[in-house]
Amino acid sequence: MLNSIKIAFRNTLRNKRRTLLSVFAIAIGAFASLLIGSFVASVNQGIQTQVARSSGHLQIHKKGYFDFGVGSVGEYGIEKYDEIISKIKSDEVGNYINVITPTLTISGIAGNYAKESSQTFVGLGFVASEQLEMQKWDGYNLNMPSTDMILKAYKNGGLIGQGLAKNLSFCKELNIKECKEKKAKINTNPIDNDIAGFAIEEETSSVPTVSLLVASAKGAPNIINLPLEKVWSQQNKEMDDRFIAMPLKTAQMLLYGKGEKRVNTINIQLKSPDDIALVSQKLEQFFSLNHLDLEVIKLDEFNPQINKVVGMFTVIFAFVSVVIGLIVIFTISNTMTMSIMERFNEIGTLRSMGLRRAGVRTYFLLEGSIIGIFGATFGVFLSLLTTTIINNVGLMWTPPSVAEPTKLVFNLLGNPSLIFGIWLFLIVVSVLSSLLPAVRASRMKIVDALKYD
Amino acid sequence: MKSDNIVTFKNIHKSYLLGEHEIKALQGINFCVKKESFTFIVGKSGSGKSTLLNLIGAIDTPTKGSIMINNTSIDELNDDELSDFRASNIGHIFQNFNLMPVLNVYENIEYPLLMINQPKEQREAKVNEIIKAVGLDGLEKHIPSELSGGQRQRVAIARALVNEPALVLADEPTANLDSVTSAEILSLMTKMQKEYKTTFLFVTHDADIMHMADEIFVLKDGKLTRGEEDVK
Repeated sequence: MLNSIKIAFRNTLRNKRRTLLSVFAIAIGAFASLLIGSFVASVNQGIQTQVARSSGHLQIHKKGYFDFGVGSVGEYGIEKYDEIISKIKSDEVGNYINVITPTLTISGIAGNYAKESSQTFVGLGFVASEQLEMQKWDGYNLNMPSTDMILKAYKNGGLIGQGLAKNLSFCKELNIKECKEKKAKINTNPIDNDIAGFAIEEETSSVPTVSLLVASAKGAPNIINLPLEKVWSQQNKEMDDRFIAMPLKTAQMLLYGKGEKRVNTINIQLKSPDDIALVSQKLEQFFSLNHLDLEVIKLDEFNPQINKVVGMFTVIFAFVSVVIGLIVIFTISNTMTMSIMERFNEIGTLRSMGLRRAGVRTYFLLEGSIIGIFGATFGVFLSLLTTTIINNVGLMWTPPSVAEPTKLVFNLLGNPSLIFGIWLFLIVVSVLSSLLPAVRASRMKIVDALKYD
Repeated sequence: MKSDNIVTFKNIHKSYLLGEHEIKALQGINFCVKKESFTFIVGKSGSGKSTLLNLIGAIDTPTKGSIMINNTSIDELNDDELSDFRASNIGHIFQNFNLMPVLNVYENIEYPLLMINQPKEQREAKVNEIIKAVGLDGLEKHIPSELSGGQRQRVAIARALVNEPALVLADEPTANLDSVTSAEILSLMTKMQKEYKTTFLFVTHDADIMHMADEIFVLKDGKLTRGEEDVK
C-alpha cells in the first residue's frame, strides 16, 4: 500500500499545473464552505447566547402553562418556588446549572396619563442580581456585548422597551435619541376619575413614572406607579413596543396582591449548552420523584425563532455545499480523466505485468484522495487565516433576532466538527469523483491500452 | 503430466472486427515452444506476430482454441487469476521499453516483486543482483528520462527477469535502438537467458539476428509456415 501511495503521489506531480488547479479548486470549495458553515454556526450560537442570557437554556413551568398559560397567568403560578429552586440546587442536577432564577410574566395596560398615552404591555418580574449573572454567560466564547451595563446600574424601578417608551411619550425623560413626542390629543373621552388621579400624581414627580394596570389572579384590578430607570431595547419590535421589566416582588404584588407569591417560570442557565438534553431529562425525573406538577421546556421550544433562523441559514449552507460538491466532482473527474488518457500505455504495461483491475482502480482513487487531502487541508488553513483576520478587524453587523449591532464573528476554531466534516466531505467527494474514471481505466483491454504511446 | 513445452497452442483462431469487416489475424495455429529455448517468431507487418505474442502473454484471449502456458490452461482462468498468472510466470520486454516514468531504475525493477509480495530483504537482494547483471550499477536512482535507449532497455530486461518468470516475451526489443546498442542488448539477453534458465520468445523481423535462435517460427497471413509439425 505504501508503494501504491508513493506511486500515486508522484503521479499527481507529473502535471503540476493541472494538479495545482484541482487542489486550488478544492481549497476554494473548502474555504467557502467553512466560511459559510462557521458563519451559520456563529449565528446559531449568537442567538442561543442571547436567549440563554435572557431566559436561560431551560424553563420550568407548571404543566399546561406553555400551552394555555398566556390566557390565564395567575392560574399557572408555581407555588413554593423558592423551595423548589433550593432542592434543584442541592440535587445532583445542580452541578450542571450556572444560574437558576424565577421570573413572573404579567400583562395589562401601561399608561403615561400626563401625556394621555396608554398601551398594552408585557411585564417581566425578575431578580436583577441573578439576571446580571445570566448576562455574563459566554459558553461559545463569542465575546458578544451584553446588556449587563443596564442591569449593573439597575436599582429597583422599571426598565422599559424603547418602542413602548416612545409610544408612552417618555422620550425626553428617558433621553431617547431620534424620538418624536406624540402630540397630545384633545380630550374628547375623559379618563375615568380614579385613574386620572395617577396622572395628577405623575405630573408632580421628577422621576418618569409609568402606571400599570393589571387584572390580579383573582380578577380584581391592581394598579401601581412604577418609576422608570432606563430603556432596555428588546430583540424584536413587537416585544420592544410592549416590554416593561420590574422587580419580581412588584410583579407579584400586581398579580397576587397580598396573597401567596408565585412565579410562572423558573429559568435555568446551564454551564454548558451541550447538557440541555441531559439536564432536561434529569429534571423530569426530579419532578416525578418529588411529585411536582411541573414540566421542562427547552431553549428551542420556548424560542422557536432559533430553529427558523438556523434552518434558513442551514438551507443556504446546504445549497452552497451542493454547488461546491458539484464543482469538485467536475474538477477532479476532469483531472483524473485527463490523467488516465495520458497514461493508457502505462495502465496496459502494469496490467500485462500482473496488476489486477483493483490495483489500477486503487492507483487512481489514491491520486484523487491525495489531491482531495491537499486541497481540503489547504482550504482549512486558508479559512482559519481569513476568519482570524476578520474576527480581529472588528466588523459589526446586526444578526437576526438581536437588537443591537454586534461584532461579526466566524467561530471556526470553536467548531472542530465543522472543520473535520467539510475536510472529510471534500476528500470523500474527490475520491468518489475519481471512481468512475478509475473503473473505466481498470476495465480497458490490455492490448488496446498498450497501443497508446 | 508435465510437458517439456512452456507454450502449447492448439488450433488457435483469433479474429476481430475492423468496422464491418472481420479480420482473421490467426487461423488455426498449432505450435509449441520448448522450455529454456531462445525462440523467434518472425513475419512481415500484419502477419499476426503481435496478436500471437499477446495471446502467449495472456493479455488477450483467442476466438477459438486452447492455450497451455507453463502447464496451466489459461483459458480457464478469470481476470484476477490471469493477472496473478502473468505476475508469476511471464516477463514482458517492449519495443518502447514501457518503464514507469515516476519510478527510478531500482523501483522499476523492484515493481514485479512487489506484485508477488516478496519480502523486502529478498527484494533488495534480487534487485541489486540483477542491476549488477545488466550493468546498471550506479544508475539506481535515475528515472527513465535520464537514461539512454540502451540503458532503458536494460532496465526493461532486468524488470522482466527479476521475478524469474518461466517465459519472457520480447516484442521487437531492438527496434528503437542503434545497431551497436542492439547487439549489446541481444548479447545481454542471451546471457541472461542462460543465467536465469528462462525461455525467451522473440518477435522480430530483423533477419540479421536469426542465427541466435534455437527455434524459429514464421507467420504469414495468420498462419504458421514453419514449426507446425512440432505439435503433431
